[in-house]
Formats: sequence, structure tokens, C-alpha cells
Amino acid sequence: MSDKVSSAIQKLWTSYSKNTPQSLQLIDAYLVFILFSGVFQFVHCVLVGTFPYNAFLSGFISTVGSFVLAANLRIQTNPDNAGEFKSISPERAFAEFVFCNIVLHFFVVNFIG
Amino acid sequence: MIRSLINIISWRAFLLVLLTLVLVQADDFVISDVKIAVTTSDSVRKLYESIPYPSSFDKPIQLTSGDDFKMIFVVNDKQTQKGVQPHQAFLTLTSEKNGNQIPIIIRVRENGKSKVELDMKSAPDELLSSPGNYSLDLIIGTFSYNDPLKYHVATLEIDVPIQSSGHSPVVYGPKPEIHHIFRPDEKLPPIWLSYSFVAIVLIPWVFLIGAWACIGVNVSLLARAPEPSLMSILFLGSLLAIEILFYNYWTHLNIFQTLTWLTGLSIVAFITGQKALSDVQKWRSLGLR
Repeated sequence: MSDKVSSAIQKLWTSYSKNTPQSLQLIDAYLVFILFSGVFQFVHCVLVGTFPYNAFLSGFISTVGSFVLAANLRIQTNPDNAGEFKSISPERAFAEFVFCNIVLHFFVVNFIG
Repeated sequence: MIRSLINIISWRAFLLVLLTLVLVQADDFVISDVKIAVTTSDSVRKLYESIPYPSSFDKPIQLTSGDDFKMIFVVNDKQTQKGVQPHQAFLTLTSEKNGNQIPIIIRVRENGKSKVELDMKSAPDELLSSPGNYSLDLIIGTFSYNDPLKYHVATLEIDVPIQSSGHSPVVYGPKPEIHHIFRPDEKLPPIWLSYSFVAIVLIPWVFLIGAWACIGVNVSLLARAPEPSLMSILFLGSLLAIEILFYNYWTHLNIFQTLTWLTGLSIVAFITGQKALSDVQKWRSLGLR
């Protein structure tokens, strides 16, 4: 059973690393990074309490927002979806990603207190 | 000639002023037939006196528990000597000890006849809880007469055992100062926990850098780009500058300074970004990446 699972995971991993474009892998790494940043902040909040509530909220919301933006970037730059986003080049998607991130960071820093 | 004219005019003016004064003075009332009586609890009349109006009763009137004080009088117009019903008429008992005032409302009939009673069996709590000498004044005021009237009738000597009826006498004066108490500080978690979580939150950064290194970030393209990649570097630099600006906003800048800087930096970032990304697009179409 465990052999099967591990072999399935191995197969998934090799096909992922073979078939996924490098830029998407970079985004995936970034997504995992964001995910764990948020998870650790949440764990801290559960363990310690919400005392600097603004700080917790802004930190957590910033991870959530970054995750959403990065996921959108991944969707728009995926060559498989190119048909759906004909008018949006990967560069334009990246520019939008940068712009939205700046706006998000401005609000997060404004709220952090 | 002119002088005598002025004389006549000024004399007439003086007369007019005098007349109005007289008229104003005429709007006045007087009190008459003031009679006071004190009856004890066993219906013995202790005191019965009539007081000629402007003067006061010279001896203090002693009231012990169970006594009933009565006072009658008539309110008249000074000129017509007809009865007047004023809008407001009451007795005030002013403590000579602490200045507290106790009002008793008087009902005056249409013909000016008035009657007021102070029964010690049902006297106000303030009176019973602080016996002593009280100044008894009659106060009458109404709209159609200019001057209200305050007439010191007599002095009352309230002689009852002190009753603590649960009500403390009303004392007007400054209340004790209210000190503001700040909410106690929130308890901070132990410092080692905070530091360990700082370390834990930094772990994803290690992962990110490691993963990107594994996948292979193609920085080398910057070096072997067909055109100078100054724009890309400027673009990334302006983004970094914006993030540093946000950090400074968090630590010490105010929003106006921040917005000024942000305007300038975002213009730089926009122009360089457009250039840089169109370069990148060109490389992509050339098949360099």
C-alpha cells in the first residue's frame, strides 16, 4: 500500500518536473513559500493569542493576498491556458502582478500599525 | 429763546421719566393679613400671631416633632388693593447651619388668599435629618408684575431628634476627583517564543531560495542579453525601493511623505517596467528563453 502511494507520488513528481515549464515551477515554489508563511503565522496566533491583532491580520491577509495574486499569475502565464488569455502576454500578467502586489503591500503596511 | 426751549424740553423729558417710573412702581403687590399658628400634636394651639407685613416675627418659632405650622396671608395689588393670584408662590426654609434650602409650594386662590402648612409629621426628609435654625422666607413672583417679592417672615427652630431615614441630606459641592485608569497592558508572550516564531517564519524563505536555486533562476540571461539589461535592473531596483519605502512608512514616515515618494518611485517603476518587460518579450519572441 505504502509502496503504491510512494510510487504514485514519485511518478507525479517526475512528470511534474518534466512537463511543467521552469517559470511555473518558480511560481509554484513561491506559492509553497507563501502558504507556509501564512500557516506559521496562524499557528503562532493559535498558540499565543491575537494580541497585536492588527499585526496578525495584516501579516496573514498579506500572505493570503500574495497567494491569490501569485495563483492568478500562474494561471495567466500557463502555456496550457494561452488560448484563454490570448490578449494577455506573460509579461503583461507579470506587470499586473507587480502592480497588485505594490497596492497590497501598501495597504498591509498601512494597517500593520 | 433757544435756551428756554431746551429747558422746557428737558423738563418735559424729566416728567416723562418720572411718570414711567411711577407707572412701573405701580405694578407691584403687597402682602397683608399675615397670620401664623402652631398647633401641637394634641391639638393645643401653641402660638397664634399676626405679623404686620414688611416686618418679621422677631422671636424664633419652635417646632418639635408632631407640631403643625400654618400660615395664611393675602396677596394684593398695591394700587387697587384687589387680590392677585401670582404664578409662583413658595416658602423657602434656609438652613442657617449649612445653607441648604427646602422649598414648600403655596397654593394661592384667585382672590389672593393663600394658606400654607408645614406638618412635622410629614415634613421633608431634609428637614428632619438636620434640625436647627431655619430662615423662613416667602417668595412670590408673577409675569405681569415687574418685581418679585422676597419677604423674611420668621425664623424656625426645628427641634426634633435626628432621624437617619436612609437619605443623607443633599450636599452640593465638588465630588471627589475621578482618576483615569488606563487599561493594563496586554500580556506579551515569553520572548523566547516570539524569537522562535521569528525563526520559524523565516524557514519558508530558506525553502524559497533553495527551491529557486534548484529549479534554476536564469539570472545568466541578464548577462548574455542581446541588449543592455539596464532597464531590468532599474525596474527591479525601483520595486526594491518601493518596498524599502513601505518599511520606512511603517517605522517613521507619515502618509503624505510616503505618498510623495511613492508617486515618484511608481513613475520610475512604470517607465522602466514597460521597457524591461518589452525587452523580455522581445527575447521570448527571439527564442532566447
